[in-house]
Amino acid sequence: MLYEKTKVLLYSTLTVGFLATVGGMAKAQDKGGEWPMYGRDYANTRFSPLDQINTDNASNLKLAYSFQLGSLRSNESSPLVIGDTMYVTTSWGPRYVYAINAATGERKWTYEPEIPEDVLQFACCDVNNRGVSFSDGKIFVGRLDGKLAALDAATGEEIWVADVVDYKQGSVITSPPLIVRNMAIIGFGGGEYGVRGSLQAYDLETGKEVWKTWTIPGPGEEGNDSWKGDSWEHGGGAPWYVGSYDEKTNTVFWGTSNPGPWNSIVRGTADSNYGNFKNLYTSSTLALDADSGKIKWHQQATPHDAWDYDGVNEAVLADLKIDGTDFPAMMKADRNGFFYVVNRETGKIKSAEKFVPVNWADKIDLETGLPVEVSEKRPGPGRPAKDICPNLIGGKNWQPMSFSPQTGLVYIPSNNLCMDWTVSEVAYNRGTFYLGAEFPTKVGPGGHLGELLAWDPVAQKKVWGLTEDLPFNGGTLATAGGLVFYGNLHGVFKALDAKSGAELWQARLGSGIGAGPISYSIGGKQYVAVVVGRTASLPAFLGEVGKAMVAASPEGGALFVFTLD
Amino acid sequence: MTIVASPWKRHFGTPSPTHAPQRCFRGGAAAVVALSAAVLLSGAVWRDARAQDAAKPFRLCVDPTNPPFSTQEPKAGLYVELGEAIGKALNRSVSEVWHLSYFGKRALRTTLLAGQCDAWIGLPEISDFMGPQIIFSNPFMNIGYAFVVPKDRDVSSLDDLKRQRVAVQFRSTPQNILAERNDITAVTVMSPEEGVRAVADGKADAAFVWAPVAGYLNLTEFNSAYRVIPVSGEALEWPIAVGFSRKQGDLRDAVDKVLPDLSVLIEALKAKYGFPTETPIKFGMADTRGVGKLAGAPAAAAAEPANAAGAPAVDAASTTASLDAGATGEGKALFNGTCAHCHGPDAIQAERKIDLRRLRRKYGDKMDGVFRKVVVSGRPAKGMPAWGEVFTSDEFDQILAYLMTVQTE
Repeated sequence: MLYEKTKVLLYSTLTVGFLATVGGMAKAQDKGGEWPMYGRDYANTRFSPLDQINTDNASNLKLAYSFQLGSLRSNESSPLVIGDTMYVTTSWGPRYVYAINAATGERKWTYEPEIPEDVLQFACCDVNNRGVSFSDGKIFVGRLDGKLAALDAATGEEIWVADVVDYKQGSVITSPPLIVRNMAIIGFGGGEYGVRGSLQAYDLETGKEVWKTWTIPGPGEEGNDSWKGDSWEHGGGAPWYVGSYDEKTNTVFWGTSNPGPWNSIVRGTADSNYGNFKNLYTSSTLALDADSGKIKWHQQATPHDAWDYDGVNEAVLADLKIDGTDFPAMMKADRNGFFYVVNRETGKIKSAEKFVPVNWADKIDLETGLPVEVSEKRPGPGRPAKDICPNLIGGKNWQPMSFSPQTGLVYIPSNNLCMDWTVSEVAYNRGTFYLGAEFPTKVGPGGHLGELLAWDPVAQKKVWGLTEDLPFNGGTLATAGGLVFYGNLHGVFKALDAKSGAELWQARLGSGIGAGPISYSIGGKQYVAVVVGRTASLPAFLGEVGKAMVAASPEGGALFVFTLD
Repeated sequence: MTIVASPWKRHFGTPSPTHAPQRCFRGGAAAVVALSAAVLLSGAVWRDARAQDAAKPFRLCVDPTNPPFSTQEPKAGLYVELGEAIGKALNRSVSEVWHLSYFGKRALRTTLLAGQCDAWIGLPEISDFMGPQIIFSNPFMNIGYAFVVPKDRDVSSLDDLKRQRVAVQFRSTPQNILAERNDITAVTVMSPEEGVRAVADGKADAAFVWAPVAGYLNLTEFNSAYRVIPVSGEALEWPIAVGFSRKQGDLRDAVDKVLPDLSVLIEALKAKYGFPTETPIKFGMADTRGVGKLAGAPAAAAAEPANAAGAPAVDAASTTASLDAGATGEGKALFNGTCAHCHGPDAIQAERKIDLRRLRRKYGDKMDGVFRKVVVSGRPAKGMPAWGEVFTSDEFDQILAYLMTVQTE
C-alpha cells in the first residue's frame, strides 16, 4: 500500500497527509478541513476527506453566503482555505486577491495589484487567474503581467515581486505556483505567440531565482535536433497550468503546451512521417528533479503536433491496484483525447485509451509511446483535414478532474467536439486586419458537446457519464461523503452520487462555471465553495458553438459557499 | 487605452521628421480672449458651413498604434491623412475614433458594425472578410510582404536567395514558404522591424517581411540603404479598401466617387511613408514547392488540391457557362466526383455557408466572377482548397453550368 504523503513542507505548522488506495476508504491522517493548495494535495486529486455532507443529506445543501468578486470575464479560481481564512482570486490580473473569513464571508483584506491595461492583447485565451499558493504565512500569486508576487497572508501587503517573464512577448501567468520546500515553482503561457517555454523556481523568502529549466532544449542539448532550423527558439511548449509533486522521489510533474507555429512544416515535416522532428518537449509531461529542475524523463502525448493539442493538463498521482500490485500512477486526461496511465517513477506508459471520440490516431503504441496516426486527419500546407476529433479545445481542457480513492474513479469534465483544420494562419501585421484561420467547429458523435465522465483508470473505461449540451464545463470535486460536485456552462452547480452519477442536488448560480469547487470545514462544519463566471474570449474561436456558449449565461464574478443547516 | 510613448519613437527610434509632436496650447489671458473671439467667429462660420453641407462629421475608426498607417500621438499616418482627404472631398469634417485593430473582427463588430464610426480605412478587400455585413469601397492600394536587400542586390525570385539566410516573421506566409524549401535558411523574427535589423546587423542576408513597416523603417532610420521589393500572390498581398457597415451603402458609393480623384495623393502618401514602389514580383508554384524536397516529406499526392499560393490567374471575364445539356451533364459528374465531398451530392447541403444552391441569392450577377475566383484560388481560411491546378477552365465552365441548374429562388 503506498503512502501518499502530502505536506506543506517548510516552516508551516500544518502537516497534511492521507492514504490513497483503490477500493479502500481513505484514512484521513490530517485535519482534512483545509484546502491548502490548488488541487488540495500535491497529487492534485481534488479529493476531500470530509464526509459530513454526504449522499444522505446533500439534497439539504443551502447557501451559507456569497461573495461578489468585482470582476467579470473568466473567473477560474480554486480558493484556498488555511485555518479559517479563504484566499480567492478574480479575473483580470488578478484584479483582486481577497482574504475572507471562510465561515462567514467577511472580508479580511484585499490585494489589488497594478496590472497594465494592455495585457489583453497578450492573453490569448482570456484574462484569467486560477488562484494562489500558500506557505509559511505567505501567499504567492502569479500575475498576467508576468510577475510572481509574495504577500503577507495576514495583511495582503506585498513582500516581494519577481519578474518571471516579459508579458509583452505574449507570456502571461494564469496559474498558481507549486510550493516545494523553500521554492515556488511557476511557468507561464504564450505558446501561441512564439515564446520558448520554461519552468522556474523562486526562493520563498527572497524572491530570487533558484533554477530555471527550458522546456525546449537549446543548441547542443539533447532533443534540440527534434526541431528544424531555428524553430526551437519560438517553439512554444509553455507550461502554463499547474504542477504536481511526488515527495517520495522528489519529482515535480508539469505539462507543456503545443508547439508553434501551427504550420508543422516550419518545425519539421508536413505529414505523419516526422521522423526525428518530434518537437521536444512540447505537448508533453515533464518529470523534473525538484531541487535542480533537471528533467528526469518526459512523456510526449502528441509528437510534432498539428492540432493545437496542448499537453498542459494536470498530472493526478495515485497508487492504483493493477494486476494485483500497487502501481505508482501518474494519470492524465490529455487534450488529444487519450487518458494516460504512466508509471510516475519511470515514465513508461502503462495504458492509454480514448476517453472521448478520437480519430486523429488509432491508438498509442505502448512500446514506443508514439501515437499511431490516421494520416488524413493530420492537416498540412495545402491539405486541410476535416472532421478531426477531438477539436482544438481538447477532450479535456484546463478545468480540473478529481480522483476518489473511495470509488477508484476519476471524474473528468470532457468535451465532445470535432473540427476542420486548414493550415493558413497569418499573424497580425499592421495596416490591415488579422486574417487568421478559422476552425469550423463540429459537434461530436451523439450531439452532446460535453460530458461529466466517471472513468475507471485501471480498466480504462467509462463507468457512468452525465451528458451536457455545451462543452467547457467546470472542474470536479470528489468527497469522502460519496459525492462529486461540478458546475456547467449554464451556471448550474450540482452534487452527484459518485458511484452512480445520480443527481442529488443543484443550484442555479447565474453565470457559467469553469473553476474547480473546493470543500473545507471550520469549527466542525463542512462547506462546499465554487467560483462562478464564464469565459468571454474562447467562444470566438468556436463559431456557432461559441455563440451558444456565450448565450448560455451572462458574464459573472462571484463566490458561492454552501453548507447544511 | 493610453499611449505612453510615441509609437513612432518606439518602433523606429526617431520620430518622422515630417511630423512635429503635438504641442499644448500656451498663452495667457490675452490669448484666451483672442481664442474666445476666434471661437465665436468660427462658430458663426461653422454654422454657415454646417448649414451648407448639412452633414455630421465623418467618423473614421483608426488604430492609434499603427505606424506608418495611423498613430494618435502624434496624429499622423497614411490612413489618417487619407481619411482627412476623403472627408474634405466629401465636404465633411473628420473625427477619429481610436481603436486597436489587433482584435480583428471583434474590433470591427464593436465599432464599425455597432455604429460607432462610419468607416475604417485599411480593410482587406476579400469577399469573405465579414461579408455581407461589411461592404468595401474599391481597393485603393495593395499591401503585403517584400524582400528587403542591400541596395546593390537584385532579387527577382526566391531562387536568388538560395543558400542565404533570410529573415521571416513567425507565423507568416513567408515563413511557410521558406519552410517548404531546404535550400534557404530561415532566420525567424517576431516583427518586420526585427527582420530589417537582422539584415543591418549581418544576422541575415535578406528579409522577407511586411513591406509597409519595413519600408518606413528603411526610409526613416536607414536612410533608404535597402531595397524593398514587394511580392504578390496568394496570402502575400492584399487589396486594401475602405470598409463600411452594409447599412452605409450611400456613403460607400460617395467614397467610391471621390477615390479616383485622390489617386495622386495616395501615391504621394505612399512615397512619403516609404512604401515600396517597385513592381511586385509575382509568386508562382515554382517558388513555393521548389527545389529540394525535404527529407522525409513525401511529394504532394497528385490528387491533392494545389497550394493556393501560386494558382495561376484566371480571366475573370471569361465566357459565362453555356447551359446546354452536355455541359451540365459533364458538370454534374465533375461536381459529384469532387465538390460533392464537402458541398453534398447534387449540391444538396444543409449547412447554409457551403450550400452552393444559394450562390445566386448571395451574389446575384456577381455569381460567375465569385465562383471562378473561389474555385481557382480557394478560401484557405475556410477550408476550401484551390482547384486552379486541378481543373481546366472548361471544366470550371461545366461545373458552373451545372450549378446554374440547381439554384434556389
